[in-house]
Amino acid sequence: MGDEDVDSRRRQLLIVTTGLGLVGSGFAAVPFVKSMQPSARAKAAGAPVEVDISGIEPGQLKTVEWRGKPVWILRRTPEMLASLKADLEVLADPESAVAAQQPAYAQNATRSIKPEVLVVVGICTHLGCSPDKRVEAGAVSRLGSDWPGGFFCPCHGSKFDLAGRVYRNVPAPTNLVVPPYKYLTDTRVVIGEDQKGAA
Amino acid sequence: MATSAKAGVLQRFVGWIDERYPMTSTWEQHISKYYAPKNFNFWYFFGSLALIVLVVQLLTGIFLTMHYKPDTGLAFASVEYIMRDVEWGWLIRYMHSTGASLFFVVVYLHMFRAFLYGSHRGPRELLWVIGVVIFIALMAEAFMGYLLPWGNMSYWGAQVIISLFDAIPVIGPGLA
Repeated sequence: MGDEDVDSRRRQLLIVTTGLGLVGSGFAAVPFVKSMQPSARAKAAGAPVEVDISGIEPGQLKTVEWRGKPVWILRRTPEMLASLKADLEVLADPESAVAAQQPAYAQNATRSIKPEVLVVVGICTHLGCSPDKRVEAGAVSRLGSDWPGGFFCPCHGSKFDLAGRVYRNVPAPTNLVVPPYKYLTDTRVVIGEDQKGAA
Repeated sequence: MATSAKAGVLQRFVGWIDERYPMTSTWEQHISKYYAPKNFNFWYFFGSLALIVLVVQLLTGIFLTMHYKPDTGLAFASVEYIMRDVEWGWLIRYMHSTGASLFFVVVYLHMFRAFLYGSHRGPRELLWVIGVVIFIALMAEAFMGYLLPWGNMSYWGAQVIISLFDAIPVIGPGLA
């Protein structure tokens, strides 16, 4: 290497120029990388949904959309809540042991924050159909007179109870998903966001 | 020079590549030891500046393509989406549109340098001819880019350029 005849001032200028060029390229790269982040439209599509549940009568079910998915809000009657304790033998996971299917605050006997209000994603855990709402007990459900009320998936016959818990020996492997949610007031619910922040 | 073990490893690695691929010699021939007359002044910057603008146009263009929709019904809305909803999308689009204008500024100064110093004269006539061909390609490319948002300016701009071909004798009307 003929380093003896190198002009050290020029070498220094070259190093400084290269360094500044690298710093400049680093700054210039920021907008390009950031442009690949979720856009404002994508964020809006995934934003939490606020729902007024004051108009939902006991025994009534309201469906709202969250991230393109149907979310069911069911205000359960005392009879419905009683039916949740009746026959745990028919359920595959009565204790909600599969942690991924609900937040910790919904890992209880009613799978909800308030016992009477069920919030659940209305998509079958088998292949993603939306089950039929057969919340009324008895023969009116067309599922037999001993049907205690729940949800029935017409695609492959999966059954869920009024807490979204799956029956034994049906295609669906797990309970329906409870989304993260929280109460703003007694009658206003935000779906997609809980105390820990947005989902 | 190469007394430390680290420099030794680097040099052996460069040597390993040079045995298989002419990396150092290519770098020296085209960049670090490229023969250039000492009397080059700032007029000679614009050729390499044109290269930089081209790289910027390619880079910003690729990133805009990620959000643009090439459909007459969707194009304008997708450009609005880039300007309003994509993070930093406005900057990338302005870099691309302003970069296109600057490309011409740089190229015109590059051409002016050629006139000024006679860079187009013999034996470099072919160099000039090739440059003119690239310049026409650049104008065509810029026109196509102008059409992409498919707003009113794009639409009527397309009308004007189509009419231009209409003015060619004999074959013009058929062409347009």
